[in-house]
Amino acid sequence: MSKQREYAIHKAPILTPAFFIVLAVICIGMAIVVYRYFAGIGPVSNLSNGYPWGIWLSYDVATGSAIACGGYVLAVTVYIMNNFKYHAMVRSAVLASMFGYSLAGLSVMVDIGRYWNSYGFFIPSRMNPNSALFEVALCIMAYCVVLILEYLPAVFERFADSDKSKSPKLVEFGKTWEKRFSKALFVIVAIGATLPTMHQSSLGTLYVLMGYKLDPMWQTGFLPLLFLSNAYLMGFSITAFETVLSTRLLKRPFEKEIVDLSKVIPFVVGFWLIVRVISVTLNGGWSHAFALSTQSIWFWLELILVIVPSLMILTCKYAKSESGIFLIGMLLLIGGGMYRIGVYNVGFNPGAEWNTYFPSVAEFLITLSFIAIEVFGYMVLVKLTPVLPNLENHGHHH
Amino acid sequence: MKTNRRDFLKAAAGSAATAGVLTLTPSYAAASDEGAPFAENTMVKFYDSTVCVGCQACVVACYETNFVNRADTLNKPKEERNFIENNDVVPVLAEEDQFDTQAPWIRINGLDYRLRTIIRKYVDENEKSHFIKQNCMHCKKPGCVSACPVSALQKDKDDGVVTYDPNRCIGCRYCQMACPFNIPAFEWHRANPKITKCDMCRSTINPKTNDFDIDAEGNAVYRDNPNKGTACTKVCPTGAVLYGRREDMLALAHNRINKSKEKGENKYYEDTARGESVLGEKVYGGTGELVIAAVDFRKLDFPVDKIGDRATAYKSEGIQHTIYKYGIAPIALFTALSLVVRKNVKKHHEHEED
Ligand code: SF4
Ligand code: SF4
Ligand code: SF4
Repeated sequence: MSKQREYAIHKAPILTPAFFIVLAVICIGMAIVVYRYFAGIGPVSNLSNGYPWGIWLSYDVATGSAIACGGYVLAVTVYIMNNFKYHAMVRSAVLASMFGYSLAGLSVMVDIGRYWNSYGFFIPSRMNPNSALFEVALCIMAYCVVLILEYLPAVFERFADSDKSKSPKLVEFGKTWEKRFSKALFVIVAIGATLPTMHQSSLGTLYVLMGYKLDPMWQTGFLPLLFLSNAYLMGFSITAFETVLSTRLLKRPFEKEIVDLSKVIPFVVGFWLIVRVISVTLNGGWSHAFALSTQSIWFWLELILVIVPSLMILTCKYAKSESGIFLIGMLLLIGGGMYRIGVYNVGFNPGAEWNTYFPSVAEFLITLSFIAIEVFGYMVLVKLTPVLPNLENHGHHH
Repeated sequence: MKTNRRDFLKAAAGSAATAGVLTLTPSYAAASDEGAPFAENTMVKFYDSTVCVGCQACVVACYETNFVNRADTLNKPKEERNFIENNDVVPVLAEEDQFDTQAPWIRINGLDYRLRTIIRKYVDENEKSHFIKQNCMHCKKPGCVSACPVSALQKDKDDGVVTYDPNRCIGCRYCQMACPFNIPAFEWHRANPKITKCDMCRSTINPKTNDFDIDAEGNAVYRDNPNKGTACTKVCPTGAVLYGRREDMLALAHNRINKSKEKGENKYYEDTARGESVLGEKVYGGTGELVIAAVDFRKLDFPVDKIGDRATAYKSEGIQHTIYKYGIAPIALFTALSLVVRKNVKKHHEHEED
């Protein structure tokens, strides 16, 4: 290992004020989670028999996993589209994805009522391949494992580069496994690129079954394709957003690669938009879109929030600056996330018998604490293991 | 770099072609049972709203059988499970259930975890009351069964009854989301919540058997034990709700409509626009519950136009099968991708070593 390492540990103290704020948010959320396990889901949520799926699914799972698609889109960009100049960004994206996906999985364990029966997913006589939810669940579990495997080289590298005089065995262990993993890398990466293609589309297929209960502005047989392309949009946007965020919060220089990477976004949005317009037309959704309602406002906001930033990337210089990328990434994340919540909650209407669902404070707090766990884990691990691009390599690209 | 792009495109085209071929394979169309008739021995309940007096005896009977006496019944061997009508039964609700001071069956505003069936009332322009019995429709292609990831909900192949197994259920509530009639109810206030749904008393007093006669009213009566069957139909004093073979019940329903027409009464509503006189004949691809009524089904809270005449599960399962049949497409995609990744990584390393 005479060569410069591509990734480095971010040298900064772990116990910062932000650390304790995040920790407090986590504790509040977890306290409510404990209460939920004794009292049931009803007392902590605004869910009902008419609206049985809330933000734990629409945000934590459907949107959270899409936000966690940074690792997926970067793996596709780097290893499949052969753009190794973005390689230095892969690991931080993978780490963020690892947390995003694991927490999506964990929040499902809060959401489902009879979690102790979940082992049924692995019992052949119980498996229901007709159910998109079955596919989503298995695929997300598998992808969590893959993400951990994709992250592990950072841990081995940490061991391999530790002080040899202090712990020679650890160094040896790290080196051996680093080598083993680099040989198997292509398999792990290929699985990691296949699985999200599957479950991100199935997250859309889930709602085809809801039929008329999903507003025609959203209901369509193209849901799988729309969710998959939306996952790409979200993946690129979060990568852009995270890059600037770590620039600012961790006080690192701006990684200019992201400007080039962002240029692909208008094409993804364009594709998504074409499919979206076709599907709304086929389902007769336009009459709903032009009637004034919460749903129609949401529908237009969704579109505007992805179209405007795409136009900015295509036409304006500001889009190439640090703050421009930040703004664009944020708008796209909100717009793309609104699409998912539009399908999962806003566009869902079982009939007039139930009060329209709006999440309770406790639901928000639990979701917030899951987000906090992600931030917390990310902040700690970038300071313990080499995840962020090595600054000594900065400006050096082969 | 260019060659690799081309490789990628080739790989992508390859997997797209695989997916395309899968879409077009006739076996996929054959795998779906869409268009097939109901199983011969499909058992249904038939409800005639014009005969119902709204006494709610069925609701009480269902409650007694499936909730109050449930444990007792389950202790008996299947052959001895009888429907016991006991007018002295006062439903003993667990304390946590007592948030409504009224007796549970008085509730007319919606199904919840305490009841598998309710009678709802609709008052028309002339102040006349119309009743409707609300419970699971035992659909031909049930959204709930298609949704359930762990097969806790299943449709019996022979008699079409849709059953629920709490020992499998994970409580994900996808069945509630998917049901077009909003039937499954969840125990929101419990730490071990279950789904409540009519199972034709299958888990209590109606074990699966086809050994029955049809009595004068049209009800199925089991030869070995006339007290077996569905509680709600057994107790109904006016015969408004009957239990029997779908074929027979459908004939009976049409018979009543036709007779009323012959007499010039025209007392039944017929959905001529959709060509459905007996609700359940067509809606959602056909259901295992048949209803005739004097008023528009839409007024009795069946959004038939929105639901349509095709079960949504055909569409979503079609998508799932197209993509995942035998896992071919995912495996093809994975194989293609791993070849591309391997090549790219190798190239990149060689390039670095230079
Ligand atoms: S009515 Fe609903 S719960 Fe009953 S079988 Fe049909 S989809 Fe399932
Ligand atoms: S709540 Fe239970 S019965 Fe309903 S879909 Fe989920 S696992 Fe199946
Ligand atoms: S068939 Fe049985 S479970 Fe269903 S509503 Fe009637 S009594 Fe209740």
